[in-house]
Amino acid sequence: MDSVLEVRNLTGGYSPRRPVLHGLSFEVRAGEMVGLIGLNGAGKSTAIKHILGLMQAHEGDIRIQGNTLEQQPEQYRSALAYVPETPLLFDELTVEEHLRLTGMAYGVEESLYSERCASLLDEFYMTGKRKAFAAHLSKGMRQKVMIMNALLAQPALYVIDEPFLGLDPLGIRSLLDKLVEVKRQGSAIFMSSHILSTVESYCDRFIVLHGGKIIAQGTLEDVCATAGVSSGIGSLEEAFYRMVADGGRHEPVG
Amino acid sequence: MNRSVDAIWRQRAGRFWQESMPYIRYMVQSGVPLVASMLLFTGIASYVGLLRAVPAAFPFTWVGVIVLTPFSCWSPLRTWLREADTVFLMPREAEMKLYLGQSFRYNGIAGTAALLLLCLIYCPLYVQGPGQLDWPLLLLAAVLVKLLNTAGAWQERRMPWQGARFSIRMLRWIVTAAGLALLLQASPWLAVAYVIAAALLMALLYRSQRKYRLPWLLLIAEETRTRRRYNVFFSAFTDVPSERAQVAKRNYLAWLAARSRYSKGNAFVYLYGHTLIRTELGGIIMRLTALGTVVGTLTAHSGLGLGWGSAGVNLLFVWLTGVQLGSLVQSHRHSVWRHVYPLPDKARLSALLRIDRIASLICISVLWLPQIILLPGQGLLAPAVTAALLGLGYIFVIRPVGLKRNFARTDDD
Repeated sequence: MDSVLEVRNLTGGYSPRRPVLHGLSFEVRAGEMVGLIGLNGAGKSTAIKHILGLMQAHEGDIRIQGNTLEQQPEQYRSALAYVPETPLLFDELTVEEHLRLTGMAYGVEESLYSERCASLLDEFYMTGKRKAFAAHLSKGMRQKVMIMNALLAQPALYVIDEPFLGLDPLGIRSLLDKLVEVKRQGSAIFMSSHILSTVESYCDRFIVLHGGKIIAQGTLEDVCATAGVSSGIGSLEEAFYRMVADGGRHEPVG
Repeated sequence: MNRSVDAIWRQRAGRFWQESMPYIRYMVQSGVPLVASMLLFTGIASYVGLLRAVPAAFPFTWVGVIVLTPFSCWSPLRTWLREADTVFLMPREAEMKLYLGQSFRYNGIAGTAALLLLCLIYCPLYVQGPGQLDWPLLLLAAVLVKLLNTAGAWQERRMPWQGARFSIRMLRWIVTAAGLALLLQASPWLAVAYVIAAALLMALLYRSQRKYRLPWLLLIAEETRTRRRYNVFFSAFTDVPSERAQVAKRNYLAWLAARSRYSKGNAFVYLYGHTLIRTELGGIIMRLTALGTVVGTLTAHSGLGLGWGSAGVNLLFVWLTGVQLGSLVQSHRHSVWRHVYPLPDKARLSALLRIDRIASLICISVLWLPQIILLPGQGLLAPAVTAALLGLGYIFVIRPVGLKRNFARTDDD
């Protein structure tokens, strides 16, 4: 499988003297869903901000489809769609106008845009809200708008930060169904979440971040082996607990 | 530490003005007070001219009602309340009488002083009209009307239903306008009887409505709106940390932004077009353009300064709307999507320049209408044409330079 996102030896944070992330290396391949898990403050959102180019790495290299942000900014950004942890909507745009703006920004052909827009609004039960402004949407609905925007662009890589916060059960189901669909179509998904049971069921591989370091990564079997637990249904939670509950005595994996 | 609620009020009010002072300094440096003083002097000169030779058919009462009604009825309330107060101050609701008392004094004194000042300015005109009430008594009546309106506005704030609130507020404005008309023209006893009867009937109406003990959410929303207006105003002069924008649908204008062709190059035009039309910035520019058109009509109608005074007033408003429009450059500069969308930053600048040019052209066209309609008929074509040419020069030559400079400056921050 081709590598869509490659992170090599990433060290970064808000101050060069106090890095939050320490030498992270991982990749996300086409047609793969990778779950990023870690406690609050482990560095998940910081890692995502570095991938988005919102923060500059102190060291290391991030490539999306082989492009770096410095050298090929448009190609880098065109290949990436982002769903933030907290919905970030434009107050002055309606739901439908957000989708149109995303379609325009990502250069989605107009006929395709109309088709995808109608289908996403329907799948996320938002057709009745298409003319609503952000202020008149519940938190879950705002999150749905973020998700629909990402899905409308159909990029090579989805970076999704805590997507299930505030979503109702139907919204969670629609999102997961769509993620499975875009994964099957060859997109790569990099998703951070605290809902370990869902992450375990849907992700192909996992990255466990603790104190800004990767303490385990790989398939469920790999992570369980690192934690010293036997793998099986529900074992990710047990493995995660074992690795982080003791204050993170596990050494980072290379 | 459990501070008293009125100490909290004082601290919040103090902090607001302390935070606003630097922005006020920037505003003073920008020359707005100078422009305002010029407008004031022009206004005083025209008013004195009017007082010297008031036409026989002058609509004294109409002018009085139109000028005094908004100042009598509009009763804002600065409460400094924030969303977090539903957690921290709500448990102290019983003490809030003390807190809100400060707000009533704060706005009540300022509002009454403004109304009295306006009455004093109007009185020299009033005494030449059909009014039967002595002018000092008119001032007293105005204070009474203002107090009644403040009380009414508070009762409306307590009503839970927006529809009822809006309808009763409209009714209060109409009843007040009629009362002012009677005070300015009819026999004093009739006017006083009307004011008392209207106050009693309105009180009965307020009593019949369901009401909150304290309308927390409404007061918080009102305070947020006021803060936002200050921010939008100050952001025309300097960079102001923005809070969430207040938006209005404005479908009568939003279609203009929606007309942008669907293409990657137009993404920021689409966004900034909607930002301008739907945020408070659009509201301010529309109000300024409307005010400029009214003032322009009056000055052009009177052929102020052989038309050159009128052209000057026109250009003043072109400049004022331009100053406000300039704050569009601050919008979305901290938005994460600016970095995530696959669009170069120069697309943002060209979108801003395009929106600025279109909006400026619309504003100066509307502002110029009274000049071209009213001045040529008086043989004063040259000032109208000069105003148009200078306005176009401002839009096509001066504004783009300033906008590019501001864009580069805000981008560096």
